[in-house]
Amino acid sequence: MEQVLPFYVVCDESYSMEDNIGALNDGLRELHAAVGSDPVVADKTRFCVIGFSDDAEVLLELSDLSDVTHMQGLTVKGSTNYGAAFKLLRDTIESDVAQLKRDGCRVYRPAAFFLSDGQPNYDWKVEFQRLTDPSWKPRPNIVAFGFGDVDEATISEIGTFKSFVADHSISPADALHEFASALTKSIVQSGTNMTDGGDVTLQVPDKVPGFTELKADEI
Amino acid sequence: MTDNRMQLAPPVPARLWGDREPPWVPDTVGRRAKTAEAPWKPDPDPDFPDTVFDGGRIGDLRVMACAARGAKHRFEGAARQDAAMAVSAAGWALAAVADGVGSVPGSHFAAGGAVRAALGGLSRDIEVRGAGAFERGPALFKYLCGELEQFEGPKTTLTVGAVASAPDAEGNYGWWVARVGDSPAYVLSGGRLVALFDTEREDEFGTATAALPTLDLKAAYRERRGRLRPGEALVLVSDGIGDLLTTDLARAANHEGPIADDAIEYFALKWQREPDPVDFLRHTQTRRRTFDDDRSAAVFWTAPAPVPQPPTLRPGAALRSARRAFQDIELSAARFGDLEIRSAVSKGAAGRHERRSRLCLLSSGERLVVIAAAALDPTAPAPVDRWTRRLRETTEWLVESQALDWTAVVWSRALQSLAEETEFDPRNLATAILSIEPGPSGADYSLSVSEGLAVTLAGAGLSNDIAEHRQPESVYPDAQHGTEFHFYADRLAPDQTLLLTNGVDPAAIAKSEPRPGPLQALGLLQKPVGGDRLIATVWSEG
Repeated sequence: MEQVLPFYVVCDESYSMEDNIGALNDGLRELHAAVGSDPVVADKTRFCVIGFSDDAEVLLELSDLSDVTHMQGLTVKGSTNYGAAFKLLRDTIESDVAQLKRDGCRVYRPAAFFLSDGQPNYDWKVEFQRLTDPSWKPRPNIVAFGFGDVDEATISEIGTFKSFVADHSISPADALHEFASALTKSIVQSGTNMTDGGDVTLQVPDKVPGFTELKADEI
Repeated sequence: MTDNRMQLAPPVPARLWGDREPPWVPDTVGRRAKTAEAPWKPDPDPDFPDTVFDGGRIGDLRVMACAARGAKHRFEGAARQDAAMAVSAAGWALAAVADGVGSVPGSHFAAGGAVRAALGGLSRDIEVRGAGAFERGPALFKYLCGELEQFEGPKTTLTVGAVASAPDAEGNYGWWVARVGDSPAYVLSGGRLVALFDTEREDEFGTATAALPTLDLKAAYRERRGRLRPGEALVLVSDGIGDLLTTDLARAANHEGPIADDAIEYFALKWQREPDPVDFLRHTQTRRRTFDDDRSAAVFWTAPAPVPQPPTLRPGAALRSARRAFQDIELSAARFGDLEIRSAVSKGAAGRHERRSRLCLLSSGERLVVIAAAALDPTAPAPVDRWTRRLRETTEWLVESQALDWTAVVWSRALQSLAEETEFDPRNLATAILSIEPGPSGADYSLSVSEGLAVTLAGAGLSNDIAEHRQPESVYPDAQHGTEFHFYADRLAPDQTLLLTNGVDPAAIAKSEPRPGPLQALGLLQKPVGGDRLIATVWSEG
């Protein structure tokens, strides 16, 4: 069956991202070039971008990156509403997976890369529980990245698969580049290692420069 | 939505590679697969060329078997891990398909070895016991486990099938199929494919398939028997094709309806009757998005011959797991830097012997090397195998050498190394060695060639036999045997194609299609009669 591994990147667009949003957009450009030019990976993966601040919006619908020529870039806006992001992510995954299945695809568990630089201003736990509900079949594997004023315990809780926090060893702009590069590697390696009818495991680099992985047992 | 349109790098232009037009380009069944349209990288091991094929008849049967790299291995330059072969033994046609387990390195050795050992072992048993050999299926597979231990780790699935070439009292043809692993088998009857084995892959996320060698053969071994009516076919495939078929079977069972096109209908229609060999290869490479695994298939067609014809399927009794077999057709193609290369060799229609001419494509470092050898007089003995093996060894040994006359050095050294062996007689050999390196201002080549193989330079509407057109740089005499070879060195211009041929008319090819796709290159060799044929064609796309 045609196999699809969907990737969602969920990015913080709050005011505090002001100085670094350009670096993140550059990273997404490079990701597009790298994934879109590898036909094995492009055939098997799909990519979606969600931005959030006061509210959340889909900036790039779930797409085959080799067909994409432009997307809505990330822009800085208001506050930090995790709940809106998680709700939109769940709704988007729900409809995307249903559509892919109608198209006759075998859909592997989605991967969501979550990036934030600050503390949420609103309650988010209810929406997070819905997103990660074990009884909801397409719940994503979440890889969480935090930097800036982020709270380690929060990022660790959100990253159901892996979590990383910036360790200030490199500039925030460079760290965001590394985030995009880790995401690119994850897509390429996961897409390349998928085999017909075989197992598929989400591949995430063990080390991301500028970030430290949060081990579950350290919290 | 906030308007902040971000321009992205333009997508890589969809420049289709290889076969682009009917009747050569493989069909797409379902959604477009970009991987299948991407350029191929050279095969890493010349003993495992991109595509192999066997075909022939015995009694009322016609049989074809082929294995080809999938789109992913082609794109990545990885070795083909599937193997397939067809042979005959006594009054039976035999075929096997194997799918090396990808997670273990070297699995192509296991797949190739399993097919040879299975068909060799079964052929020898059939010659002694006739149909009684099929009572000993588990023993055959136990023997295979032992044979495959020599590869120390690699594993493979294997399906072996045999069909009687003459009808029984009721006019039907007995068959036997045994397997370990998930490769499906079907009877094709009245336009329908009927699966012989249940799908054992239960959950969506899959489990490791059973594979040889195994310690628990009893649990992994499956066997089926039956009879084909005239006009029916027995189909063995690896999961590269099986996954296409089971997907659509599952959708039908769940009443989900077919997706745009249906692979089951496609194969049931295309393989209802024996296709042309090139079409058979094209069908096995049917494209669908994400179905990029290696492909192999073996099909037996039953149809009483109006006039009994002599068998053409070669006997399998001499096959051994550790000895390389030379199948009826081998095909390789690649982009190498700016260079495009196609190489294809095909056994002549006459005789049940193994193909005698050799064509070997190697890439090492900056250099692409083609070694071609055939018998000048195909009816007389020629040490083709020994000579090409020695040339290959010498090539690998001298790979670092920067000598300007590199191919002549390889040839001379190989000859020297055989000088003491008095029984080695190269007088009936036709040989060519071509080495070519892509560069910024064209491709430099070094070519050594003896009488019997044609080298043609085609371009700008002209085609010239190199021997008639220009003086060689030097002539190397072999005083010991009274032979010689000519050495040429030059740069291939961007509008030029270099053709190395045997058994086909190079002028006709140079005029019509000197720059073919892979299947089209093979198509250039298709002739119903005559001896072995080969073609290697190289040009620069810089």
